[in-house]
Amino acid sequence: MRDSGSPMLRVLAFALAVACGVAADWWLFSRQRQDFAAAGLGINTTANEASYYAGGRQVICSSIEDLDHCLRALPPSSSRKRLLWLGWSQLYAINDYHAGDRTGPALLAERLAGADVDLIAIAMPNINPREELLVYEYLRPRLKLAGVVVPAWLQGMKQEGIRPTWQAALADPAVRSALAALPSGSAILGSVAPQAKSAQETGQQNLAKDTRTTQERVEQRLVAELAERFAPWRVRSQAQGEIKLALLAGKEQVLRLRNLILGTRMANWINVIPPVRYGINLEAFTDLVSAARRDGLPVLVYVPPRPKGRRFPFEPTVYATFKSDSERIARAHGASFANIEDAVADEVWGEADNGAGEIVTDYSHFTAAGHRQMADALAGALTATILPQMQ
Amino acid sequence: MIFNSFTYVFFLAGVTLLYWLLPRRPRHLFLFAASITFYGFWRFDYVLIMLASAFTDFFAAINIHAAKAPAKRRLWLALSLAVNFGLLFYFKYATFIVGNVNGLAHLLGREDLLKTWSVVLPVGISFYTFQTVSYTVDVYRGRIEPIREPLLYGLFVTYFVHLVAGPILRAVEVIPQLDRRKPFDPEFLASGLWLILNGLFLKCVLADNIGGYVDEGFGANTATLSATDVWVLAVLFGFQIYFDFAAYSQIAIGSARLMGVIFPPNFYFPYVATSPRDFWRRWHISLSSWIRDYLYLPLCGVRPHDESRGGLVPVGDQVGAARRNIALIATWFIMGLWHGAGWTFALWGLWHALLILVQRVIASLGLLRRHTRLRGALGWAATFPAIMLGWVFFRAQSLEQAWAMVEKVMQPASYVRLDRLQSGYIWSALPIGIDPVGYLLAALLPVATLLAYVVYRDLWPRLAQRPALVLPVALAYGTAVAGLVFIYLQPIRQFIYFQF
Repeated sequence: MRDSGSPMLRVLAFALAVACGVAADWWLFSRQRQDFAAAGLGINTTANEASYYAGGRQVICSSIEDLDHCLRALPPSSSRKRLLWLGWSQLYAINDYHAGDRTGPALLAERLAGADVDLIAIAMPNINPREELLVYEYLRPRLKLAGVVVPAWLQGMKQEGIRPTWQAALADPAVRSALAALPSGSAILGSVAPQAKSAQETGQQNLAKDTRTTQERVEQRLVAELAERFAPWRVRSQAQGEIKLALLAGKEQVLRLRNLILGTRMANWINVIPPVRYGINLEAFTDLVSAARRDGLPVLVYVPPRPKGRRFPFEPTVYATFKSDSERIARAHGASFANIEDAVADEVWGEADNGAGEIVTDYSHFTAAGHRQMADALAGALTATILPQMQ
Repeated sequence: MIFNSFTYVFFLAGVTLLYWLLPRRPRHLFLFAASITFYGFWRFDYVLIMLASAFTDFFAAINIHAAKAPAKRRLWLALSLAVNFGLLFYFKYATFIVGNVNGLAHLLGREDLLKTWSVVLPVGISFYTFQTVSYTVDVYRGRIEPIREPLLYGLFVTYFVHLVAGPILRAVEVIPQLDRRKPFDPEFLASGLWLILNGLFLKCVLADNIGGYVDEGFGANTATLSATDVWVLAVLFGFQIYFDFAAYSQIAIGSARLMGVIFPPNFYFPYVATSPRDFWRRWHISLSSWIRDYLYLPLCGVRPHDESRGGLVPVGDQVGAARRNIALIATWFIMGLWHGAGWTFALWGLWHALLILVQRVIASLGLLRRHTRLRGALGWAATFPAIMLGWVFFRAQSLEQAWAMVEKVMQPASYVRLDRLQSGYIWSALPIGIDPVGYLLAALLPVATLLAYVVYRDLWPRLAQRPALVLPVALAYGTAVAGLVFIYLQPIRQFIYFQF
């Protein structure tokens, strides 16, 4: 605001603008609780917590806060093995959900329980390999893992960043030092400033060797205090998510305009994965497999189900390269590899809006029947590969 | 301490309040202590390096002034320059030179000739070194009297608002304002607060969000990028560094204003420049003015100016073309290396020297003299991409990467993937190797900048004459900006210029 009007009026205008800005954030984002997990799901596809359970135990978790629910319910580990399954919304979203429907991880967990294996699935929307690596490094010392299942999912290679619900994991010194030793780890550490979950956690960190600057320590304490005492603060991450979704919606409108101008339809549209991001994610994927193998864990890399008779919006050569890259990386590190891409029948896939006003086959989500088929296929793959090694 | 943090918001509020409450003497001491604390939030041990640099000049300036014999004056000046540039050389350039010597030895099939080591670069060393050197040189030139009060002088160097990333100001511009506090005027608060809010918006909302695309693109395998990707990355980085550094300058200028200290502007819409020289009158004005007065004009043998305003100036026919050109190239080579110890920075500097040389040639042709608007439009159309391409050298992680990216731009085949046209997928034939959102941003940002310039230059002054409209517009703008700053304010990444 360039010099104009009375100074006192401008000071008041400033104070009022700041107050209005914070109040507007509070008003806009505290009421409008967008379910980010469901935001990217297809038509009539939903996430239902009731379908996450096996034998009264929650099998699927998505964030650090949520993790307690999964970990608390685990039986004592002395006589049992813990198997970690990493994945995205395919693991928890069900198309055309009916009460009593179960997800693939819940069904698989029931089967494995008899073999003294406790399955825990960490799944979040559009998970990327960097996040998978972070989740693995965070869980490894906490869970005494016996095996890991990693999807070779092409859409994940398009994603980037560490979502706020997992950034607190980077405040753990053990996670930081484990990541720092990996080729992709320093980029992950550099991409996000470590955030303390609470003042208590900040205190706990200080007990460990503290390499933070005074600025970082003071800032973390201040942020923790603000989070506890200032209600509008708590809408910040919600607001960031909502704005991102709004921008994505705006981007879709631009794509529609492009399609209108170019006459583009699903028949000639493909999902482009920037090679840059592909390279970055492939490095993290490699680090995940090699880290788990170095920790002595059997690893199963699997190609997840996809609709085979319908349109799959990736360039075939890119998809083929990705599958062979995944298999090569798995074999190079002594991990197992299984391809279950044809495991789910075409009729059980859901539908989605492609963002340009067209209804197309959802290439990621399916009905409860599809979840049963996926669980069957993965159970077979596990039995043939890493389950005996875990035993 | 970094500006884009809640720590700084609270720190600044406390310091400003006490500044206005305290009388003169304790006020100087308090502000000096606050400045040391500000720097110490990063590393307290490096405060000593800064003070060593500052007080060498304090004593050197007094002795230069007291000395009658020119030889003695030169000796004190040399001592000051040796200490300041010695520290700068050790921390910033020594490992670079050792690396180059060893690299040359490897080329000749020899082992390392010199031992390598690692050292942490003191934050802001390039800025406070230039500031203290300008003070000593000004005393040597007889432009100013030396300061006798160590506390006041220490405050001039360490004053936290411009300590780590400028603006690079002259003693004559800052010391009188710090020494004799003006009576409190609500105008200080009014202008300072709005500048800080704007700066935080530029940094937290714009620069940091663009930075993600830039980091990803420049961190990639260059072979996977197309020519259009390189252009997009260049434009995105150009805007990231502009928003980032302009943000720092606005917060610095705004913070100083809260204490009644007026700093000159450091940026003025650089991307609307119609020539390379015009760009340097709008970009990092305090640095280009410093370079003008302490390097370029002395090399040309022309009398320098006395203030950190104006940026680069033409010396015209006062000196011969050969001397002018050599001075220009030497100046820009040093300017490049000032930004960072690497050949990529030196190349960036030389690129700008080349642009100015080309501008001189074109200007000498006297084309379109009567068509001012057309000349301006064509000038902008040529200057904007040229400046943006230069950022590739600046941001590239190595010379190899910079060459590879510039090579792409020169290859017509790199603008479209013809092999993909036959695949039936239109989208894949478009040469996009980075996130499509980056493309959208790169297209929108120049347009938005031109619009903002028109609003600032033409629309706002007219609006300001109608007070009934000013308040609602300011409130709407402030609410939107403050709301976004509140959501995004967090020290995700430091200001880019911290590393210089």
